[in-house]
Amino acid sequence: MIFAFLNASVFALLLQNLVFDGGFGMSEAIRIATKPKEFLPIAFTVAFFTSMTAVICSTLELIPAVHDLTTAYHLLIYCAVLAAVYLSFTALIRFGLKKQNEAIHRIGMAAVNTLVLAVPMINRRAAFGVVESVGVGVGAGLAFVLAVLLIGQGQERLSENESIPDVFRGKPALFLYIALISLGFVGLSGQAMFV
Amino acid sequence: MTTRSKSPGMLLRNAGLFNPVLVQAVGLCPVVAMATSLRGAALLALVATVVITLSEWIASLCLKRVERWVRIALYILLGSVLVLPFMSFLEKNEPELFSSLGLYLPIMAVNSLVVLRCERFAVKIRPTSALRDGLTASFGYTVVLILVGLVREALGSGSVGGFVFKPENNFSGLLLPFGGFLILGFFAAVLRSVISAYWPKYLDKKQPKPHTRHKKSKRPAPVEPESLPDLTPDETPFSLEDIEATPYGAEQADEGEETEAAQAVYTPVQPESEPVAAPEPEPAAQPEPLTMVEALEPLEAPQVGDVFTKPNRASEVRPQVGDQDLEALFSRSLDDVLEGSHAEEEKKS
Repeated sequence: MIFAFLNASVFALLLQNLVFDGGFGMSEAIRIATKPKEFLPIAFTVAFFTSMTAVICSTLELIPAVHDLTTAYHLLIYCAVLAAVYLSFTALIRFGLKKQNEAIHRIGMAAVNTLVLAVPMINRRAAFGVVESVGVGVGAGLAFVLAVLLIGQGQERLSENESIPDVFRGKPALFLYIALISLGFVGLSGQAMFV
Repeated sequence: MTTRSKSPGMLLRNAGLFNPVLVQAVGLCPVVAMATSLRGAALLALVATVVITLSEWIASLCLKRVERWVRIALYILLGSVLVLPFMSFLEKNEPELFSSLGLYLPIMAVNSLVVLRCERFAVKIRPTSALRDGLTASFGYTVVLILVGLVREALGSGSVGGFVFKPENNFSGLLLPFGGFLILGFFAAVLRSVISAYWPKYLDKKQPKPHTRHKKSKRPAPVEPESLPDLTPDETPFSLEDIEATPYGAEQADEGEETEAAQAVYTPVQPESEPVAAPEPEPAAQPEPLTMVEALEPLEAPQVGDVFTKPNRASEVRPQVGDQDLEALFSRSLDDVLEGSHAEEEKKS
């Protein structure tokens, strides 16, 4: 059981890094990386959402009526689960812990994320069980944290680099930097570059 | 090259100067991962256009009164409902294309571009403006999707639109997300160079948000009388269009009135140079509160040109009366007032 969990986590974190290899959640990773003071709490909130959604969706898949539905209806169910998890978590923060609106806004940024919805979809396509699904959820969350850290550090160094030509400053340089990191993860997955 | 002095239109702003992908880095996932062929990119562009435009329109129409944290959940559900018909249709009629799109078609439901546009713009503007905003932003997204799909298919697969012109020795790595980011980097650099050449003031700027209603001050600050030109009433420099284009007009539009002023404010003209900070005016000396008798004295009859040269005395005098004085005045009945005036006349006689 533990082996299955770790196997799925390492798969989502390194071998098929969902952020750099799949492109999931990249916009949020870039946006969050620009906020150095808050990026770790937000990144871990994303990890929480991916894990929770994966657990609930894979549990629902055990119901035969849900399992036999087409992909289109699965999307509807997964979105409803994501919305329910988001509303519950935000309501807890809002009414239970009396947090400010700014924190709630950050939770919204973490919840509406292609990575969060991609995890249950991947689990369904790969026919993972509950344990593997949770492993992918946790691995995807950690992949997001890793992506935010790498992009944040890269962005800081790129902004300090005076030798970058003017037209490549900002987003162009950042895209090329992410392309190089993504290339590194492609190396881990062993895909061919020329056919 | 010369810089453009005219303020750019909504299409140019949303699709070019503040392009969602190349400038704002939003909605990247489908572009880098799935725009690997012209056909796939076109299909994703169609779905994105429908989802973004309709989400913005519905958000502007129905979700303005809903609390922000609840709205986010509604965007997720709305996105899934909008993507559902496409998925059902493709699953039944185009199973090959559907399977080739994989996860990337369903996750358009939670595209960050939808939530960003809805929260930044749609819930603050009129439904028609939200529709236009959605269409123009989608156009910018579509152009990038199509261009990236075209280049990647040509270099990575050696074909364009399914027509194979180079079957071997292709750079298939470009079909991976790595290739998507690489091409986006070069496209973003090209767009940046165009913007820096023609619209340099928009370089590295955040897209301005539409004006919203100010809670504290409803009306603009009163203009100092000394700053107004000495004109006769026939030479008034203000036209109806000028008056409609004031921020106050936009506030009215926010409250539901359909005026063009909101659009005028929504497309703010950026200053060519840095505005010089105006010196802060010295606080005007507060006149001493008037007594009840002074307050009720008739105002001096205004002359024709006084409107432009003298301050409105009524606005100065009336608020100076204490609330208690006003209450006492209004609590007197008409008979009391008449009796008082008769007594004064008798005293004089």
